[in-house]
Amino acid sequence: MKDYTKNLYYRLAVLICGFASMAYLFLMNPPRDRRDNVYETKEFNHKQFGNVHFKDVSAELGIDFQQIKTTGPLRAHDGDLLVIAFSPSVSVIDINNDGYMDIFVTTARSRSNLLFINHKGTSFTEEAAQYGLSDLNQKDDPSYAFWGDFNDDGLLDLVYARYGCHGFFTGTKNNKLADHSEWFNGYCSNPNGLNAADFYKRGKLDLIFANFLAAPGESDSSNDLWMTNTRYDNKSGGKNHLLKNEGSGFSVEKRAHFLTRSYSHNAGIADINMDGLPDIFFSNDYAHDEMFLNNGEGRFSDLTDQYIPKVLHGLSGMNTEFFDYDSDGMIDLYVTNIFKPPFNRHFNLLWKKSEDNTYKNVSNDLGVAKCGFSWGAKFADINNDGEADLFVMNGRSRSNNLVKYGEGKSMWYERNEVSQIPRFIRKLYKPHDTIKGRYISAFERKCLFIQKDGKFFDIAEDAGFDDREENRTLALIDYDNDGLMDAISAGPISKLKVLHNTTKTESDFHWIGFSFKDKRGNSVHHGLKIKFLLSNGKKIVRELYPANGYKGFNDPRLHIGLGKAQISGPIEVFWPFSRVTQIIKNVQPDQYNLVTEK
Amino acid sequence: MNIFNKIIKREINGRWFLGGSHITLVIISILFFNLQRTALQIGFGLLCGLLTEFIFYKLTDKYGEHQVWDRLFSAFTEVAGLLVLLKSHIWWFYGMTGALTVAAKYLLRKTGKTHIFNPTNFAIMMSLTFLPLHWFGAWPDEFMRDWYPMLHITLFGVIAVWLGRTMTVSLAYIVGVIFFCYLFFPINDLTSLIYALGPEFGSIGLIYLWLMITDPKTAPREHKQQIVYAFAIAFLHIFLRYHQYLYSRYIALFIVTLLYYGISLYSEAAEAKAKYSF
Repeated sequence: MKDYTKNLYYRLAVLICGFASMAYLFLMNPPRDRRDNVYETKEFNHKQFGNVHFKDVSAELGIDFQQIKTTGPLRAHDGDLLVIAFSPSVSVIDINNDGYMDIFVTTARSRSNLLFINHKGTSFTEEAAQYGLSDLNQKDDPSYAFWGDFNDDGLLDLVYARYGCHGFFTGTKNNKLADHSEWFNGYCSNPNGLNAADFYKRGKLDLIFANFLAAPGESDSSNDLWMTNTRYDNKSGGKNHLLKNEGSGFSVEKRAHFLTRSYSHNAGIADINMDGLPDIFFSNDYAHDEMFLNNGEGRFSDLTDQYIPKVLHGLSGMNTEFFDYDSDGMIDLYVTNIFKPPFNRHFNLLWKKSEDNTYKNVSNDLGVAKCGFSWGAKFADINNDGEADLFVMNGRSRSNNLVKYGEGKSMWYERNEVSQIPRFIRKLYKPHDTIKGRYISAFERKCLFIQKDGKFFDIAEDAGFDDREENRTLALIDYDNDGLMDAISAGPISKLKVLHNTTKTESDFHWIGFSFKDKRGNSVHHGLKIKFLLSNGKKIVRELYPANGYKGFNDPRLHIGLGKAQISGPIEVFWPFSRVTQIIKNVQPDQYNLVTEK
Repeated sequence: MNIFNKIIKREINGRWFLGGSHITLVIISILFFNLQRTALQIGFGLLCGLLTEFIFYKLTDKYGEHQVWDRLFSAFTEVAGLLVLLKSHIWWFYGMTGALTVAAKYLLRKTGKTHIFNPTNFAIMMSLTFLPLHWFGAWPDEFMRDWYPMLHITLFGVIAVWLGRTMTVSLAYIVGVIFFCYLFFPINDLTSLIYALGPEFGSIGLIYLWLMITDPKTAPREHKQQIVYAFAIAFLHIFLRYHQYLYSRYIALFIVTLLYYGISLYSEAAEAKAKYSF
């Protein structure tokens, strides 16, 4: 081959192309922290979803709450509030049994909790003190409020999880809760999520603690909390526990070997292998997610890799949502992760379940893989067209003095630099002085994926669901019982927002709602299942676990969009405590039907 | 002892230690540091790299006929370097970048046998410029904070640099980085000092220091030029770091080698002009 290297044109071409590449890099694709490359980019006709809209009605309803930065148990790291800050938990429950959902918000250490009582969907008033829920944060930061009937009296009890030692409050007939924290027998831990089901088929609710940080005395987790460059199968987080309900207290089930000490954000529950027993999924940060099948005797089999191949895991699992998004009768799984290229490139995963109980990730194909630093996510049929849509929260944190995008410096970048420092040197690094004027995935919008013909389209900006607050907590609520699912968003430094669904649905679209009351009189059911067919051939299967998600205890009723279809055939309701399947008839569309156990 | 003497006398090609470092680091990292590279990625990467090398070797007369194994080892080294430095979930990513690395070595050359860009750095930069950032990351994050890889890289790297006669580049770069860190970053306590200098001593900083900027084919040969070259890289790297540009090391090396190529051409033209005027 002729030596071309002396050719003038070749030399000029190399120089020009080299510098042009650099110009292109810096001008068109700058390798910096960007907020605009964290979303799905699929083009679609926006007009077709023009009727979907959300409006922030918090002020109109009289709801005013903003979380303050709180570090949970990591008090030694108080200077590092930007990185380690916890989102409030939001519960949707009908605490006064008036048929309208109320809102309970946990706040922070030394601050009063808030209970917003719903006045027929038109306004809320704060009444936490009247219900004995106000002053529960004297010593520790609250983590999660979980509601259910634990003592079989048909009244709603509260498990008040803290970053520390937990509280248990039983319901009374005068609505004021009574403190029975002795049920925990001194059990203390640092959970981010909590869930419950009848794991032993005894008609009692047992608790699952998804412990994010190591329990007091176990080890110091904080030194490993480096957001980028995830260490796989990190072993320094909290150990998850199953707490067996003994009728007068909880005891840690020693046979439940959730061996890893991953940083679990929550425990999702569903009957994964359809054997009638509730199974568990932990969404884990800094490690692989975990799926455990329940054998009904306190033992669990780890079938993670067989069902959801570990090689595809996002290693930054935040949220667990079990939902049959395509109405094929199989409950699918949606797990959120962090997508912040190039720092973290982990997609949200939509695990579609197949007949043999294994799952396949379809999030990229369906267009629900990307939504930045994703947290809480829930499916609901927003426009009642018969296809499930998806809410996803996004955003991390920022210093208080930053008010708009473009200000301050990227802590993503700085964290990435720090993560390159050798471990033995990094021990000397104390980031207290470097966090002023910093942000991590701040000023990024949420996502609202609407489903149309089996594909999802992110219409958050069209639908007014695009505020730039850093939101993590998501709770679904139909606060005005109009059959349109509303949403509550909250974050570690942002205002709590009630986002009213003002969608104008088509006149021939219908929905059906169910509320339930079992023989005990209990109105919140963990593990209740409902099945029926629609006239268009779709199979509707729902399992009711209101605590699936992230930091939200969701509307404990069921809302199902029907579109133009009608219910065809019987409706089966499985009651979790009595384990009886009941056939119900004479239900009316476009309203909530009260189903009573017989 | 014989090998030791040969190293002292610089009778061994430094590439054996560069390649030895990368290849053993890949193997050790897979075994002990959970390096996330699948067999398909490794196999396809090596296949594409070796095949590209073989094709170019046959097509060009750049190397003698008896160096085929030496050439294949060179390709093996470059693909191993990519497997260490790049992280992608895409199965064909290492195949594409491996082929690009080897092709760049043949196609982008100065006069004679030397290539313009460090081949591994060229492939990283082209990926960074033209591919979506969510396809890959350029940090060996599985092991970059642990002590063993640092020891490994330093040991192999110092020998490779000694044999390649580019120790001046490394030493000048260290001095340059310290100087420019003090110039750009507000260093007023231990934490800020660690933030400024700490990343330079992690695995990726050491790979860059010992095994990338010191490439004898792309770095200048004279000591004074080596000092200027290293200072230029250090300046650009720290300048970009201060302004929070990612992958500042790779960008700095690419731009400086490009500038160095431009300056060499200018010098060559000036020499030719002087010759003709004589």
